[in-house]
Amino acid sequence: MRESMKGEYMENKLIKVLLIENDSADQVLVKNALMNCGYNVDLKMVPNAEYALKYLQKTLDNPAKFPRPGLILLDLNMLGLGGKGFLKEIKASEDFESIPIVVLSSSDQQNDVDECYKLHAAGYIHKMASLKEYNSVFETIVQYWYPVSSVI
Amino acid sequence: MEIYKAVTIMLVEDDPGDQKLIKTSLREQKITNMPLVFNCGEDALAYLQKIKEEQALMPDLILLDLNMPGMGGREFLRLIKSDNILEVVPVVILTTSDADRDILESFRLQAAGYIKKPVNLPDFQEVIQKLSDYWFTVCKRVVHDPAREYSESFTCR
Repeated sequence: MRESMKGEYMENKLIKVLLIENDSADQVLVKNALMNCGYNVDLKMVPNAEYALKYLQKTLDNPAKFPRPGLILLDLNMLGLGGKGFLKEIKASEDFESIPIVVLSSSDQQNDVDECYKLHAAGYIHKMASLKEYNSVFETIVQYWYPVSSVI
Repeated sequence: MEIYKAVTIMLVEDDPGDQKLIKTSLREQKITNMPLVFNCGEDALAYLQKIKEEQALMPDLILLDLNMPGMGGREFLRLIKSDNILEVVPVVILTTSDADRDILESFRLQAAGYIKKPVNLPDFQEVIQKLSDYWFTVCKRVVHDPAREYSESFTCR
């Protein structure tokens, strides 16, 4: 039953995701979870906020080659501009403010959570250790976002 | 005894039939049996202003219809997201429209989700379950403890 439902989802259920993550182990975990979530995920990975801004600029200049993401998954702890700096910048940008940003963080400090929602994050995920949890968490995220992701 | 999630949901919806479907879905999916229901944006906003003044508990999530008489869902969303205190509350749009223009405008105004209203109860329950899985199982949320200030106040000087 469940498998056949996943089969249905595969048909044209494409979601374009931009993952901003500097930790290579987390990159692999998130990538695997997204590839196994039963949806057709077009994943673009960049290692920091600066590269992400460059990538988003390219989506304006050449959308055929650099597709606009319908969902951004953002690590919070990165050098440079960092996750919060990126959130601020995107939510102040007319070109990109509509793209939902879901924060992935190893911090479960309540003030980090509060601050991200104040910056209009559209979700805050505490990074967990086990692979099994990763898979079901990312399935839930994709399930929630894919119906609108092609429009925004 | 029924066990519900420890969450407060505000529903802003003018259609009595849809109110009933949503309330039934929230109850049957064991999310809440007492959502705060308002028929228009004006009343919901007045309630939120009162909560602010009295430093009472904010809702954890707002479910918002777009097309309502009076200020309507878009203006309500715009006002919530430009209020320094209220902006932290996620607002999920629940509407009969799946027009690209409505979806895009809602996300420009910082909606935290968009659900096209299903037509029958089983489908309503399914979308409400997915909504609950995302916001109340997977995501960490703002804790609305009135004794607690927002993060800026923690800054040491």
